[in-house]
Amino acid sequence: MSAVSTATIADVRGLTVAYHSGDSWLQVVRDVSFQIRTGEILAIVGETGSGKSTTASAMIRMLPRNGRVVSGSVRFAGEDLLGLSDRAMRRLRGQDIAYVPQQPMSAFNPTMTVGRQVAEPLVIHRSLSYRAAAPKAAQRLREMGIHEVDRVMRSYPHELSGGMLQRAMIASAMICQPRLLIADEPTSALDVTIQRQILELIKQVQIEYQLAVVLISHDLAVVSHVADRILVLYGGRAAEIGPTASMVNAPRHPYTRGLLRSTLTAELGHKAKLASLAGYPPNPLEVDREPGCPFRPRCHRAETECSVAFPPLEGQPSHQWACYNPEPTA
Amino acid sequence: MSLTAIDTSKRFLLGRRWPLKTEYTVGVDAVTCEVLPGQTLGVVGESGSGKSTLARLMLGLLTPSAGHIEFEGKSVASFGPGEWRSFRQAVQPIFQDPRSSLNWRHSIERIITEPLQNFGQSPKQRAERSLVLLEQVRLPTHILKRQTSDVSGGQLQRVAIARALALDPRYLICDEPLSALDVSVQAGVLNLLLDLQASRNLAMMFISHDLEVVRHVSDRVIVMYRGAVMEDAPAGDLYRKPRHPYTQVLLGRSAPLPEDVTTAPSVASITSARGVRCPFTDRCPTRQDRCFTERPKLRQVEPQHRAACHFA
Amino acid sequence: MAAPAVPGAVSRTAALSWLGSAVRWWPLGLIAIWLLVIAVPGLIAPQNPLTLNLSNTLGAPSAQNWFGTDEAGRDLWSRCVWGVRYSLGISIVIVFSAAAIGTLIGGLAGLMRGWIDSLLMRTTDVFLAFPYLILAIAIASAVGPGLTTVVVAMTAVWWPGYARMVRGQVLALKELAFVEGARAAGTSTLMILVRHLLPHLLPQLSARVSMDVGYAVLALTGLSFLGLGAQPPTPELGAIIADARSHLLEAWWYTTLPGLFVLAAVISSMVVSDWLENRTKGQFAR
Repeated sequence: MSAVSTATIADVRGLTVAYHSGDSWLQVVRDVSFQIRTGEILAIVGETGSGKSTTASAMIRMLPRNGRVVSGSVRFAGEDLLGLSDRAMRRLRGQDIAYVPQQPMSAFNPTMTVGRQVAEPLVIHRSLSYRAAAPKAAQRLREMGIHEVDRVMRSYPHELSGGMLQRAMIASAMICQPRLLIADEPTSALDVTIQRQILELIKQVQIEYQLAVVLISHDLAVVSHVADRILVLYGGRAAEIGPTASMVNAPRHPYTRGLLRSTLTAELGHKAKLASLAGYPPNPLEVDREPGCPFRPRCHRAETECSVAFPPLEGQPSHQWACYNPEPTA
Repeated sequence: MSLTAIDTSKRFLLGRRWPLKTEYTVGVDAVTCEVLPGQTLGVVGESGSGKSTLARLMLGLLTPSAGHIEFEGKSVASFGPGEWRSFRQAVQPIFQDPRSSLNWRHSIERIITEPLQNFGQSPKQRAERSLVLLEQVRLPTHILKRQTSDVSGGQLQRVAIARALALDPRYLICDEPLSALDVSVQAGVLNLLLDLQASRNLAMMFISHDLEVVRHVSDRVIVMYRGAVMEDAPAGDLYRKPRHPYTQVLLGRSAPLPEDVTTAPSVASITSARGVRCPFTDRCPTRQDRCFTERPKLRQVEPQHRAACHFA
Repeated sequence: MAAPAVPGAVSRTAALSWLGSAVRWWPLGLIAIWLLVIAVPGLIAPQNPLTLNLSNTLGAPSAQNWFGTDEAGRDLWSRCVWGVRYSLGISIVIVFSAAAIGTLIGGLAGLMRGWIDSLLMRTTDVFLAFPYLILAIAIASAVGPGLTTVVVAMTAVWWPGYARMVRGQVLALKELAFVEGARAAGTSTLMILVRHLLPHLLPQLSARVSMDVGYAVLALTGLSFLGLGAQPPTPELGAIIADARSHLLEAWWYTTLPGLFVLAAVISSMVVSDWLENRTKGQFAR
């Protein structure tokens, strides 16, 4: 653990988000709480129906039209973001809180050069002209590992590869030196070799700028290399949250353990069967129908109380899990 | 008895540049590989490597621009209608995303039994067989009447597998069968494929960008880059002693050069099917002058192990 | 929503919401009404449209003859109602036939590409170039006027539009992943078109077909009006209006009322087409 400030910069409490579908409201995120500290990468890991992307969108108040935060709070640097005016929120976005989306190809405007788009946050928030902002944009791009900066600045998005675009996206996100970076599956659309590079880049940026980072992903194994803490979501609920080392070496929630065990390890013999979780992730449209733990249908440690009510969080403050019958420590 | 690609190339027309200079994209560049009964050939590569094009060539969905595909001794190019029928019955695909590779306007039952319908089975025979197939892929029978939108991704991929098994094929070409699935579901589907191969002695081609999975399921692996085979070795050897610089990059044992600014590899166009330089020169960390002037041939570096590099 | 207090009783809100959703489907009711009129015109027009009654020619609308009578004493209401069977019914047949032919040709052209595509599309272009009026006159002068003449002329001229439309759609659809899955499963080209692509083509096709029915009614009644189509005594709306023209001053209802029927049919087709288009918007993808 490096000697960095562990001040909490963002505090999410009891976040519940619902979508309006047909004539009913579906809760896709239920009572999720976590903290993000400066100088730390928190990975939010989940699969279909986990609510991870909705959580990120809710934090920066960019839910789709039919989405609503039902309850809970999102405090950033002391203020509750959910209570802010649209105008105040717009000021924060891009400046104090940055967002990197999943598909860099579609996130960039195909009719504007990359250089203009990287410089855009400066133009909006610091009232600079594009000309004045351009050198800063170039500098950021260089920091992100791009070599032919002038050429990239003048290029249009379709002329660059996914990896290059994602670097440009991160440059744009960092240009106003935000305090919090939310990256929503930043590497899912990229090739394997580039994925590693982009994750390393995020880690680098985080250290250099003492950023707080929220990294959303569906792949626990991949993020465990760069994340300091991991939050595992399942069926809209927080299943487990803790430091990476504990999560990977001693997971307490059966889902976390199941995820880790179903990945390939060196010990498995050639063509041997993997330990797999039975069943399938919950249907997002039906996730909030049943009371109790959403993981129960697939859990080999389920007991009667698991279908009655969702288990409370327990454990130490640094490592918590929501399970009535957690995996033993050994 | 095998399904083999022999020096197969496929190039795609990009456009005609005035005056008379036609531009092509190379999909597959002189690839030779074989899929043998009871064994799995792994194909590893990133986007633009040509692995999906290779799959389609092996499935007879594309015709090679050069070279040919051989099915159990006979060249696919010389097939008559009868031989095509046998081929279709024997060689079946599993594609990456079941939501787009299965017609979402059809019911699950219709999807699974369509191959049987093409081969003239009666509705009664098809109905019986669909129950058998569901059992083989471990799906509940009530799923038959459902639409694809009511079914989860993992289940849908099993439906795709059931459909592929309908005609009792001997060869299964799997193009990234796990990539579109949730992580917690991938292991189950992988186990199913392993089981099926073992019980039916299937010849499998397993294409993926995920090296760990490919190593686990394959007997032999080929590594592709920009349409060409960079390395070809037994799975174990490839991972213990990767000889080609690209394989080493894929395994995370070395870092590639920073990406070129110009177009991404998948839309790169070169004006002739065989360039004069090694395709990996733009990212190879150990490239030398020779690599730019002489294209390395795929040569033997160890028993059963070939690599296309001057310095492997 | 609370369960009804009395078992078996339907809660009021449930009934109202069902009614609300049912109302959204009202254009189907419109189609049903027209189809009923075509199938059993006798239901609302009990009088025989061909019965002459020379004692009551050009009679004004009355209790007995709701639309009055024509110059031969025939009940105009009956003639109009039966006329729907010809004007609308035959138009529907024409458009459906044209759509079927066009879909087959355009679909095969789009799927098979190459020389077949070129051949089929050039043929389509040839037919597309023909104005239906000239073609009808040409056929009429060869085999004489009549409904058959007009049907042949109109179908021949209408199918190319569908061929073009379907070919364009098929070109896009065949890139969809499930098409190569179908081919790998041994599905023939024709079956790919029918089994796989048709369900995806239907939304746009049905919107276009219902709109074309309206245009076909106008074309058909127009041709009959000119004397090329229905021959007397067939009570086709266009023919009726042609007969009514000479009596315009004495019996204004004679031209007006059949015309209103034509108007109603055409407007209905447009309404249905609009509704279909709105319902099927965005269904191309998923």
